[in-house]
Amino acid sequence: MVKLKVGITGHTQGLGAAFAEYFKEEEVHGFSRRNGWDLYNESSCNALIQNMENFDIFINNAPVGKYQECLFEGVLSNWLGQDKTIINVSSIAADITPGMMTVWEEHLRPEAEDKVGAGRTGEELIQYVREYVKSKRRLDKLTNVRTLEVGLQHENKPHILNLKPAATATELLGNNVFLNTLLDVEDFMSVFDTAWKMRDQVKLTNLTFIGTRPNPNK
Amino acid sequence: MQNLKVAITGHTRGIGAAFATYFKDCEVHGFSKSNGWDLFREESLKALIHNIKDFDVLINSAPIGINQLKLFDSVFELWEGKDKSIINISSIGGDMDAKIIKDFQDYYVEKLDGGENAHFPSVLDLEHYITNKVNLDKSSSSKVLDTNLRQKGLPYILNLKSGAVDTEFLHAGPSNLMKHYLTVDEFMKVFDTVWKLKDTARITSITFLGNNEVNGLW
Repeated sequence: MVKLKVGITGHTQGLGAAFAEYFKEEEVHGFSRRNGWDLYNESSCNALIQNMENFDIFINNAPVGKYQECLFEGVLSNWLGQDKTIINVSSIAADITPGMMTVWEEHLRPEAEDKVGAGRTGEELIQYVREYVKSKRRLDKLTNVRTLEVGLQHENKPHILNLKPAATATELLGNNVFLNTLLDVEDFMSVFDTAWKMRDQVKLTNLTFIGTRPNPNK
Repeated sequence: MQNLKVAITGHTRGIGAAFATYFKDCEVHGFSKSNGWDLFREESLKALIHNIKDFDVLINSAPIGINQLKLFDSVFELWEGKDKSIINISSIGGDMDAKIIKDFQDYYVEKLDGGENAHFPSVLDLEHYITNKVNLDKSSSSKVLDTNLRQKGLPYILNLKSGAVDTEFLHAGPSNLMKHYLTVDEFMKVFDTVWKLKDTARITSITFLGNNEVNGLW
């Protein structure tokens, strides 16, 4: 059987590494800083988009801000109408509206200042979350539009799957103080596995999910 | 699961009827026009909300315009912090925003043939339908975030946002907008999978499309 060719950004840690393990029987190619792919710049993104042309699956996992959108848009435009799959690792944070963010900053600031996440000060953490939310919100909107377009005009091809987990226990999470519950990486992958195995019958395109494990930092 | 008390709006047809079958071992109560519950009317809606206190699960299925949102908001308020479940039958239309609606207008104006029995006799009707689903989704996603921050994620809220499903509703209107559809069985398989995963990961919103070609069927 011909192996699927799978491209994963941020493949060396957290969810990216879990995806690399999940597809270990296929031909997996990783794109991370550690192997020279700093995707925080346009030329690297363009090079990666070119590289993806003969791949079957693109896992757009690395949280590289606006470049995550560029990668999605670039790979999608090359793959329109083809039987391939793009998986965006987004976040439930995409559902936070600007109004909610303002209210929440008031609510979260004391906690954020009390406990520090991922080596940041409280104010830095708030700033990081603000930018992170904006970036995921943009990715989410773009994905929704493109999913509708692909569904209406391109025979649902490629299959776009947007995964929007709540806090997942990876290195990135640090001492997350925001949510009451967490997903672990296995829980995340079990949701993905479910969606993946259903794809011939039903195409899941957007999944928001929350863990059930108590957050030890709360 | 046998001991659950389940309320289903629009329980006599389509997806609502499939939920009644799914929960047949539970105590199911249906609320539809055919048994005197015209939920487009405020007094019926208020009576249902008054009745809902000791239920465990609400399947908010009937497409009753803005009253579907009112029902969700009111039941959420009554059930906040309680180990109960609200399942909203929304639509992929909920992923649209004003800009997407405008962008797609030419497409659906061309495709929509209306007709006196159609659920969407005019573009305005379709836009109202989409707007109601967008608002239901927004309300739902903000409550999901809020309950997870403050209330340990209870009640469990699940928004099911499918593409076209093969029910009477599809035949009567939007069929030629879509290229693919889901059968009711496929819809319920997605729900069953999500429902069984809820102790590991709580999927709070799921968008999904069918693989069956509409072409020439209706």
